[in-house]
This record gives sequence, structure tokens and C-alpha cells, in this order.
Amino acid sequence: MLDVIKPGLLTTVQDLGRTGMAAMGFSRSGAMDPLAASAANLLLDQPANTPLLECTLLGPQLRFDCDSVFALSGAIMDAELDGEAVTVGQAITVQAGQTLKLGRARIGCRCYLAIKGGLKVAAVLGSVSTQLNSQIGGWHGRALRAGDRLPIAASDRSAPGYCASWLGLATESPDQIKTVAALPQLAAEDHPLYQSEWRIDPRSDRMGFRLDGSPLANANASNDGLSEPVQAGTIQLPRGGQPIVLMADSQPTGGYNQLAQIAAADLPLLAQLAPGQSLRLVCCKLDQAQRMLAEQQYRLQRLAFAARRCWNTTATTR
Amino acid sequence: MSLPFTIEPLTETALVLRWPAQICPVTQAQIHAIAALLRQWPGLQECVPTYHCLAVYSDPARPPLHAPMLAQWLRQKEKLWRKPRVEHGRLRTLPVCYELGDDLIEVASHCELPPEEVVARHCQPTYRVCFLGFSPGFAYLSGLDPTLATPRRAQPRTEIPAGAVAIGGAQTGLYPSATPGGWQIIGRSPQPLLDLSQSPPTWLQAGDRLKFEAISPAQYAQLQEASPCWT
Repeated sequence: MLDVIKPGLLTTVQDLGRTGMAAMGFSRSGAMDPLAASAANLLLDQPANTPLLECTLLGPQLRFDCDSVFALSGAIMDAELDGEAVTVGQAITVQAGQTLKLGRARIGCRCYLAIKGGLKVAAVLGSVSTQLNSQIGGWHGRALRAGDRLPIAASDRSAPGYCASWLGLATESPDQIKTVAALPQLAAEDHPLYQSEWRIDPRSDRMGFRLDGSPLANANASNDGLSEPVQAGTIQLPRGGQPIVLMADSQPTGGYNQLAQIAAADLPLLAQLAPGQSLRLVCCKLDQAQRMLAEQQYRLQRLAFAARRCWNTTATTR
Repeated sequence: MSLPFTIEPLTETALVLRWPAQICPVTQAQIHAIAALLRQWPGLQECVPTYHCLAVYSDPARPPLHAPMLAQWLRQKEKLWRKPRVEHGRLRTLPVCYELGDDLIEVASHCELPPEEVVARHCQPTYRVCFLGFSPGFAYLSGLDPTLATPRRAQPRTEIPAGAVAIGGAQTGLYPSATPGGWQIIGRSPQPLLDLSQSPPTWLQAGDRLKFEAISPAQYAQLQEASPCWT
């Protein structure tokens, strides 16, 4: 069991999302930063889709009641195991009774905590990911609370001596303005969307990021407001002229004009931005975005092979 | 031969088929016929229909679909989707207690009709479930009598109860679970519309036809107590 002593600001059970249900109105949900979530699981030599925790801005305090191995990826959070600092981006052995205390996110916004063997949470419609608005999946459809006890299986193995990766870690300085690639739909290269700086509005959540900046002129609704398919990364323009980027908990269809689509390989970059941080958008060609995505998948595969080799050669049985 | 829709990339791994932007029964039938054909493809993750679009998401682990390849395949299969039978789809009947519609009087006064006439005109047509979206199981219906069109509420309600039957502009729809919303509530149904333990978990599917049947508050209470069965 994993005992929740303090729940953190917003800690949810996630995997890589609930696919195949969008035509019935279900959100895909899943990790906001699927690259970091995948990396955390691959470091433990387990499938990228294994159930883990997404910890937002301020992490939880958790007590392990069995021997285990864990890995942190994504945001760089203050992390201590029984008072000893632990490093993100590597597999770490934990003894029964030890407490992992995650603090503030120093770089990035969302930190993923993967546990060897995964969280033993029942899948709902093919996924454990938490959809907060509809209260579906995850841990009773909600964020963790103090006193929750999440089932995990004990691990009889210790972490390999060296099993670490930078892949998936938020590494940039938090003050730097990110540049995120977007595929143009209505917004061609010379569109004002790409000319100005945008700030993540504090009202942003797992469903969508509102972008603050000079309002954009809204061209006449080309589709008369009829809903069209949308997904994580779709940039919509409501009447007020402030764009909204839909994120993991996005509904599957939406009626606002669609300006552009964040390149899938850059969606993790956006997901790691906290409210108040700034970004610029840059227009990107489809083949370029496809190459970026393929490159990212290739690097994940390399990580999977390397981690497997570590576990096979140096991990020990306790 | 030309296709009645365009095919464009939606993302790195998805395409969208787009018909002219209107609510049209022929378009709807073609969208659902093509979605049914594509769902047999092993390389596809899912198809998402709307009134005039069909999004086709490929499995990211497989090579992405190319628009020209899909266009060619659909030309070859044209007989199977060009003139589909519009009447396909189950006919479902939904009991609705219009006395429980908090906004029925408001809708009636907006439409300058007696409330009984609003109910009669709402029960008259056979609606079509065009697609599900917005929230799990929320059905977008076509077929509303245009004389019942009523603008959304100026102040959206923070909670619309599960089972609410509502009008928003020229559309009518059903709320399977309690959510905030701005549509005018004209009735409530005791029929559960969403049950995660069922497969499929939504009582209505895109392509279904739907009739509303007016029931009294006593019948509503009786049906709700009897916990209406799923099928």
C-alpha cells in the first residue's frame, strides 16, 4: 500500500489515456505530459502506459508499507526519502516504512511518480486515467486526499546501480519563454497568433490553458458554430479573442473556431508550463512535426532498451 | 469521381473528413457509414463523428494514414457509403416528464405557444442522434421543430440534473449526468443514460433514432422507483 499522508495540490492517478471512447463523448484524459510519464515507467522497465501519479506544482507526502522501487520524471520537484534528497529521473529503491516527501516544483509544473509494478487501480473503460470533471476513473474519480491508501505490489528487486535518464525532465529555466510549435489550421504563418507573447492564465486546468495577451480578431465563424472534433493541443478561439489550448481532459468535440494544433512533440513542453508563465507559438509544417514526433518516439525506445539492459544486468534481488 | 468531402490532416496522426457545414441527413448517413467501414481497420485508434466532420485517429504506434491513400480507398468502397439507407439505426423511445422542466413556461412564452403545445411539438418528430460529445453520453439530436427554438439562458445553470431534456437554440439534447449548462430545461427522463458498468456505457449511440413520450409526474416517480432497465 501507498499511504497518502499529505495529498499535495492536485495529485491524480493517470496512464496514457482512455482511447476508443471519444465517439461516446468521453475525454481521453491521461498524463498531461505523456513523454515524462512514459519515461518514468520505462526507467522501471515496465510499459509506458502503467498507472502512475501525476503531481501538480506541490507534490504529496507518501508512505510505502512495502519494499518498492520508484522513479520521478517531468517537473523537477523537491524530493526527500526519509529526509534524504532523492534525484529525479532515476530508479530509486525504497524500504517498507519509508516516507517520500515531494515538495514544490522548481522547474516545470507536473512531476510523475511511477512505482515498480504500477498502482493497482481498476481500469474504467480501458484506462485508469482520472477525468476530474466527470469523476471517472483513477482513484474514485478524484484527486488524492490525506488518508487514501493506494494498492501497490511489493517489489523483491532493488533498483539497478545506474538507471537514469534526462528524457522527459523539465530542464529549462522557469523564466525562459518557451517556443512551442503549432500546426496551422485557420492561423497561417503570418497570423497574429505567432506574433505576440502569451501568458498562461491562472484559470487554466487539465481541460484547457487560457492564453492571456492581446485579443485576436475573430473572423466570422466559418462553420456556423457547429461542433467539430478537437483533442489535446487544439487551439480554439472563443468570441472574446483569448485563445484556449485544449489539454488532456479536453472534451472530444468543440464549437469554437480552431486556429491551430500544438505539435504533439511539443505538447509536453506546454504541459510543463505553470500558470503565469509565458510562451510564444511558432508555425510548424506537418512533415516537420511528424519528424519531431518520430524522433521523440525513437528516443523513448532507446530509453526503454537501455533501462531494460540495466535491470537485466545490474538489478539485484533483495 | 469527386468525393463529397475534403480530407485534411488534423494532427500528425489524424485526418479529418469535412462535409459542407450544415446539419443534413445524407451527410449524417454517409459519415456513419464511413465510420462503420473504418472501424474495421486494425490501424485505427478511433473515429469521431460530428454533424459535418469525421475525425480519424490512427494508432500512433503504426505508420500514419495518408489523405490520398484514404481517398483512394473510399473511392473504391463508394457503393458502401455514397447512398446509405438513411433509416438505419435503432428506434428508441424515451419517457419524459415535461412537468419537471423548470424552463418549460419560459420556453412556451418565448415561442408564444401554450406549454401543452410545446410538449406536443417536442414529442411529435422522430429525432436522430447525430453524435455524442460535450460530456459522456451527451446526445446531439437533429429534428427539433424550428418553432421551438429558444436561445440559451443568459445565466447558465451551475447544475443541470441528470436526465434533463433541454433546448439550446435550434438544438435539443439530453444530459446523462449532472453538469453545468446553459440550455433551457423542458423536461426530465427517469431513464438512466450513462452506466459505466454497461457495454457500451451510453444508452444512445450515434445513428440511433429517438422518440419522446410524455409521462405524468406519477409515472415518472413510478419508473424511477422501478429503476428502469438499461435495454
